[in-house]
Amino acid sequence: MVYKSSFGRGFNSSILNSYVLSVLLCIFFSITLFVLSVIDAATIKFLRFSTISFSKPIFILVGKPFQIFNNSLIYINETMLAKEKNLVLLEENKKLAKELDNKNFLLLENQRLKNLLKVQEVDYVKKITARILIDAYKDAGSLIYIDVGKKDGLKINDLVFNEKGLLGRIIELGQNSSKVLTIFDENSVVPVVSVNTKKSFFVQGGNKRLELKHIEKKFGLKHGELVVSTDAAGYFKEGIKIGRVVKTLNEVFVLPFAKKTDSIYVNVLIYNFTNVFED
Amino acid sequence: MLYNLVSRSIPYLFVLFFIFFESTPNYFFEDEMIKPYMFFTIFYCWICTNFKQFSPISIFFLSTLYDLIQGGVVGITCLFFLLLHYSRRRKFNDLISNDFKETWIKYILGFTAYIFIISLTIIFFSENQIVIKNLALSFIFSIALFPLFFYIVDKLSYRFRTYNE
Repeated sequence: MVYKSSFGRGFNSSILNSYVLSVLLCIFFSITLFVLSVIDAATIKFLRFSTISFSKPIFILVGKPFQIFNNSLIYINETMLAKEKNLVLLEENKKLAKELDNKNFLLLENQRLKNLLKVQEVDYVKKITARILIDAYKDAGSLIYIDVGKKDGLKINDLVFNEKGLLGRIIELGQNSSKVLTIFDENSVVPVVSVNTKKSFFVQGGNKRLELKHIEKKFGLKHGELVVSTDAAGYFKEGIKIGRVVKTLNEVFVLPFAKKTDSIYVNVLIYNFTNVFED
Repeated sequence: MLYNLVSRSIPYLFVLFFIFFESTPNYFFEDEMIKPYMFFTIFYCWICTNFKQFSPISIFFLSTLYDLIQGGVVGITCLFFLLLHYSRRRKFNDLISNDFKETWIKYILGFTAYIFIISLTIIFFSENQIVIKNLALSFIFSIALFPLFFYIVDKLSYRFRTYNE
């Protein structure tokens, strides 16, 4: 006959059995993590970015089937519209060929002027292609995580864009991943200038459009004119296309070119800013 | 033995899949897909149907992983599921009936409380932004899809419970 030790018997029969102890321990750790994340501790940031970097293959694996399915649907849809698209592209090709002639002339002229002024080209830009790892639906995707970080040379405020235009900027850095604040977020304010009317102002994120800030006589802007970024005392990079001005009877806003659903891949431009934010 | 190990790991793999699937960028043509709170619903269903398959430690790790990936405040999800696990364990001993309608209503109440607390923590402690439209759509979809998730989890849970026993 086997008897339990008195210690074990007493331990299991009391309120503090092994189950309750493990629950209490987990509650303690949860509260600790909660407090750490509320005070925005570096430990939580490190844990978060490490988890994301470590889980990168899983994110790709889990997202792959749906990506293949969606790509197949897009391919079928494009095949069905191929004839119509071909006609449009032929027309566009004619226009682009004319523009290319003009561009070649301007390039040549530009080169001649540079030689005249003895301007030296400085290759200070590095372009990296990254993959969106996390894009949760609940926050309207105004915050996304990408799979490049400090190790790839990224800095705070580096620009994230796709083939259509500016998408956002880096706001937090991990070793192998980073957090991007898209231009659609309310916290995103970008310094811009309108190309035709030469007005300087700011655009703030809104739901699928950008609101105009710090601008006098906003109806003075032209409908459809291009809006590009300015350098904002060295903290930002000028000349990145952002969107077009849309004027209605009551309001004026900017409709951005890029949206994150354009592609799961994005580009990051690493600049040597005059002024740099510290992480 | 190997089969038993696989059977035991299925619930964890199933829950892990939904943790990652909820955060991956899934676009339908060039539009965003409406995503319900899949991890929350699946995990809730699993704890309701068979809480024995998850220990408090595993609940802690899975919930913390979810919170870390989601990017908000960490710890709330874990506290919620630990309390749920504890309450299920107590009720199991009391042999309270498992009526589905009752489970669904309890889920709606618990889920509403969870969303409310999470939203408050985002407003006060996080720089993340709440988009009411998306939150409401996710909330409604989660509640509407609960019977389907519950059915799937119930079937899976029953199957693996039978093998274990």
